Amino acid sequence: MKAWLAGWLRSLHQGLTEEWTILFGGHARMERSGVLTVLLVIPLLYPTVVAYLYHAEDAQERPALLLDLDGSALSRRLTLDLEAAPELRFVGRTASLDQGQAALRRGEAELLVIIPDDLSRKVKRGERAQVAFWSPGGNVYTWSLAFTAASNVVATENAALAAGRFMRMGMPPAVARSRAAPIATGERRLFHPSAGYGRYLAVGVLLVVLQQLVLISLAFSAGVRRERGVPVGAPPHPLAHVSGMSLAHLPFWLGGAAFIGLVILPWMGWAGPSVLATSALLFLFVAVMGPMAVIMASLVPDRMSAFQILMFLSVPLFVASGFTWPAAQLPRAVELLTYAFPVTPALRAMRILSMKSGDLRAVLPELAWMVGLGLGHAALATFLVLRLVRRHGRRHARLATAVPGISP
Amino acid sequence: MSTLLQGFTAQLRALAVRRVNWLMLALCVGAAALSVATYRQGAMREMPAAVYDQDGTGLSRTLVRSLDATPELRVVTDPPATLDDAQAALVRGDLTAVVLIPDGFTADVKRGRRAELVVALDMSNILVGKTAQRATQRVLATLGAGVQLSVVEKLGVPRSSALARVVAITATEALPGNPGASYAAYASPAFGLSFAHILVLFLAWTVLWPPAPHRPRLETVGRLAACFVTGLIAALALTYGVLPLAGLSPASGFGVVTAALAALVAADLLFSTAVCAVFRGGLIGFQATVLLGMLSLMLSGLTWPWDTIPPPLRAVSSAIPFTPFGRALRLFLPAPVGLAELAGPFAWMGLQCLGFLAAIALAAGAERLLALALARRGEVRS
Repeated sequence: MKAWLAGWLRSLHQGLTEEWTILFGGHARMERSGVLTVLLVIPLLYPTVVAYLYHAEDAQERPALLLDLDGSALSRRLTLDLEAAPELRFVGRTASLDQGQAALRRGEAELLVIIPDDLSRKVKRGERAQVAFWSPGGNVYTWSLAFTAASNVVATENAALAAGRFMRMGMPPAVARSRAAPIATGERRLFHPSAGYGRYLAVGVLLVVLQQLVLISLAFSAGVRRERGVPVGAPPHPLAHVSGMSLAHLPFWLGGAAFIGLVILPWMGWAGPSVLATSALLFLFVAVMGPMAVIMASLVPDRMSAFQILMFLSVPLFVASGFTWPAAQLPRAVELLTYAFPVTPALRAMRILSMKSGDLRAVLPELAWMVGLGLGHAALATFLVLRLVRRHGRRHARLATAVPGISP
Repeated sequence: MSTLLQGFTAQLRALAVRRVNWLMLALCVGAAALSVATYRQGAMREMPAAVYDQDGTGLSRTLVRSLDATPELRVVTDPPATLDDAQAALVRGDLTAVVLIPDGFTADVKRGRRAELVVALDMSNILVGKTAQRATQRVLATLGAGVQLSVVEKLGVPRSSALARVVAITATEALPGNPGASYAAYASPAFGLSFAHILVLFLAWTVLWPPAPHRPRLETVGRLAACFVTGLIAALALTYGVLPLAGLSPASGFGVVTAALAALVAADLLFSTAVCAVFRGGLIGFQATVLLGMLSLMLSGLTWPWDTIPPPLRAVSSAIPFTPFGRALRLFLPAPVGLAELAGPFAWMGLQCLGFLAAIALAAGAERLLALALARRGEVRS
């Protein structure tokens, strides 16, 4: 047992020192492995860019064009109210519908507000008038901001008009106002009252960045080894050898998690009620992703393949995780497919910890799910590494038989 | 000419024999299909909401029924027993909204006092929260209008003109690019075709790396042409094969769509070649391409609005071919447009291509000067 343990530790050490050489060795430009670049650029540059990109939190002041064909006091009041909404900004007026549409096509504005020539007349006659909001783009996010603001302005104007009418019918002002808006809603926007887009999205993107760091760095390193003829999972203890490889990457992975969890998230105000709970989730995620990284590392034949395979994983796993588009609204097959990846429970736990609760007990089911997947992936990784070594051994044995002088 | 052709066929063969290339292609299609299928439903439906009706009147029951009748919300039949349990359900994400109709709600309405109710919304996911918010606001506005209508009628206004007295102005929306305000139309094309963009970047690098300094230039052009054909076929397959998974298909003609995709593929190939040349064929050039490729969707202005992107990032994004292609995509997908309407994005991509060619030429010139300088230093030493 002692001898086995000593051998195991030797293999671990061998994997670690080899990996250290791969990370820091090579002086000439073409000799460097590039693994260090991956280990530094992904956790430092990506989170910084993402934080910078979404630091505005929300897209306010959507550019709008006004086509006021009425030119009445009512239309001017409506225009002023629309302009006062923080979500809208009039960038100009247009003389005709065609001109407005052409300006929208040129990208000068996102929204065209059309006030018809009979707005005031119709309101005075007691007929219903229409104000049209026209947007050629399909961006649902900006549209929902702009149109919601515009609808609220129109609703307020309607209430004011109705109150005026009730007062003219002889009601006292207070009663008239109550009659004009008979139901008041006490709206409680829970967990994320500002409804900012940045905080909603970026936290998840940062977690996916961490996933990519773990997966790509180890797979990329395995690619370097295969290109250079250095084994991945060398006998007699292949698992110890691979663990040694991973151990060399671990400080960078944990450093990446610490940078995101303890620097970027608190700095941007995205960490949620407890910075420690959010960071703990990130550290656990790194640990759980380790076996999956070994699985990927056992599959890639060279450096470029690591990117070729892994860069296609991040976006679909993110969008299908239930983080942005709710899990209950996903097609069943898509939802089932994402169950196998630790990023799915991690993102769901991240949503709760970054917005709703700083208590890790609130995400116990997700944590258990992550650990379960980690164990499952560890078993699969063990199987793959051992199979790889056996196959390697058989190939060498065949070579030794075919070409005398080559020893397995 | 034969060198060009040789390069073309050699690259096609090289792409075909490597299993990892097939795997990459499969992953590209699979990733696009998964991303597109995610938004297949288009809009959020039947999100669970709990209603606590402490009023128990006809009006409050109408409100509950109206909320349940919206396509966005589903009023759960067994709501959590207490408000604390409801709060816990909101934290777990089991509920989207909680509506509390207090005792005396109808009495207030009838007496002409402003009746109040409480709507708690889970805003942690803004798509969910805002959808639920819009649905509840719509229902409450309708209910409020109904109450006003009855008051106005009681005051002697004829039924025919009562509604116009209550809701004098209506806001009508027109979103021709995305009539149903569907998330599928908004997100799926962007996600789906960003994979084509990344695929083409990788295809280019199968030619450029590892560096082959002695390869004839024409052969490299032939190899890139093979990547162009492969990339274009893949992009067309994603457009006409994968986007229909979300019920989307280009409204513009096949020729226009092919031209836009061909422009993207060509610009992407030149972009990779330029980055490779600038970084002197080293691995760092490949890594830089991948980095920019992965950021290109976020920086393109397709999801996060262009004017909200910080200027330095906008400058970087302006040099990535996917950004002008995104503009073209928003035009040719929802509406039948001709090439003239895509002149803006095409001109942008054309400028990019000129820039990439200039970068390639400059880098080649600098490389030659460096080689000359090194050779001269060698002569001096010898």
